[in-house]
Amino acid sequence: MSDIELEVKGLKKFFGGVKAVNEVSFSITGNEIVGLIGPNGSGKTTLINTIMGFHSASGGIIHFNGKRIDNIPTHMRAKSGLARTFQVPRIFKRMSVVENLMVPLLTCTGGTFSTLRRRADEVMEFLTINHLANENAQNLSGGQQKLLEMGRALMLNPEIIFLDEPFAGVHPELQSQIYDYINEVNTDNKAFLIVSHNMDSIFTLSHRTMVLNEGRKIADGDPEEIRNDDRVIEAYLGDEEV
Amino acid sequence: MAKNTRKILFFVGLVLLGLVLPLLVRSSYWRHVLILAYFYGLLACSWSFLEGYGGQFSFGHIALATVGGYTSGLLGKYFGFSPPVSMLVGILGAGVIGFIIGVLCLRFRGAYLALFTIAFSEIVRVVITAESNITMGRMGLELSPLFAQSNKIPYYYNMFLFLVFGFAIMYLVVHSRYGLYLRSIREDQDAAEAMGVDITKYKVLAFTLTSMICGLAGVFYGHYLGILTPSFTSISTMGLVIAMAIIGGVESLVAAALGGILLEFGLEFLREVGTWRLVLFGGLLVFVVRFARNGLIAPVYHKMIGE
Repeated sequence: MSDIELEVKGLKKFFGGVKAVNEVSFSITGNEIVGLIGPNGSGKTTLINTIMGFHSASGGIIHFNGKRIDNIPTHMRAKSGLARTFQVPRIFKRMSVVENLMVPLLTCTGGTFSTLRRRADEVMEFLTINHLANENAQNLSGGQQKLLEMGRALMLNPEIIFLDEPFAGVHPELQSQIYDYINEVNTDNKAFLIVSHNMDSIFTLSHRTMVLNEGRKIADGDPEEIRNDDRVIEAYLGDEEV
Repeated sequence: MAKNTRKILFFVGLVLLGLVLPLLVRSSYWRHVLILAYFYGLLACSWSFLEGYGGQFSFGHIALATVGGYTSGLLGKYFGFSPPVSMLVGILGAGVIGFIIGVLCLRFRGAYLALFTIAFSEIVRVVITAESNITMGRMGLELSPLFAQSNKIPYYYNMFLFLVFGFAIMYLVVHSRYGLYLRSIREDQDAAEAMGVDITKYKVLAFTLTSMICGLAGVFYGHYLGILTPSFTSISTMGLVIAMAIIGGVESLVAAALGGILLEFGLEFLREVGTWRLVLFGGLLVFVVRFARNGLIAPVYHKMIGE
């Protein structure tokens, strides 16, 4: 186990009267894979956006590896070891695949293009997109764009990676490929917080699962327990069985 | 032939052409047109740097060139600064103003910069007109000439040097890591920030650099013509610069610069048709925006260098 620790205490994000995230507290330690589920509009993406600094928090404190980070800008949070992907891939469309990967690599390391290119090649090879290195990113398929975004996050050499809906709209074959990538990266002492509506994926991958409903955390624990938690069943799927 | 070799040959060819052109063009009038074409080429190139690479839409280039020109002229008139020194201060002055504009509005997104720079241009024009006891208002501020003789040749090489120098700086920046950051900001600011790019810092730096390039063009323009008037700071002149960059190819520094040069030439060439030349120019712009988003020169340039 590594000594990574993200500690979120009483985090709030209000948009006017809407309490998108309300008093949410949790921590991620070691190389945990934490699943984050909840109905639409429960605040999952807002939670990630607030932790990453895209939204300023309305209250609460975030510590990462012992340092308070809720008062530093997003790019500093990224450099400190937090990386993310977006619900809809937000790649740099008019840049090549390798240029997409070089941006995060250059922000967090010194060195020249040629020495850093090797690291980009390794990541492209790992994600099996090396044949697309010089392709304009906008020409990639949806699944390839997801992989590229994941690769871009890896280039920051982060300690925790937030994946927002990594399996949405992805072919089942690619989905299992992404599982493998997550598990492999995880063995390299990197933690994940995965937001997904794909319950099977979450329960298969995560070591722990959190559930949000109307901005509040209503459950946090072992995926099997969560699957059978009455509050979760009621909030998440109504009368249906999870 | 390798792409880099083609590129080098292309640039060497352009520089050589620029060096021999005044020897081939004997007419003083056309030499004057060439000088103005390089002036517009430099401005179009710097607009391409800011918009095409950084995604920042500005209407402030002409106003910043005016700031540079007037700063240099006023320092010469009231404090007796020699042109080289006052020009340097003028360039720095434009850079400082650009930096302040950047800090004030570049942390915001969307149309703020465009709106802010329209307002800034108007402020510059009105202040110069209103403070006529200092700036000479509509009478125009006289600037001392750069060279003793009235021959256009030294001015030509001076402007050509400024064009090559300004282009080289911007070219080096866009081909460095900072260029990559700027392009990532253009593509998606949130994603760039999530990748560790300090978007405000790089946007401000890019705006400051282009402001200094505008200042460079402006100080030359003032000392070359020998007079500056507030009418120079018009939105229509700024529109001309933007159109030149777009028609050339906004995502290519060299295409935008060539767009500025060739269109200025074209406009002078068509002077005999009067106002219709502007109609033709507008039509060309509409055609490019609708059917050739990459401009007219950029695709030719990319084909020539094998990209």
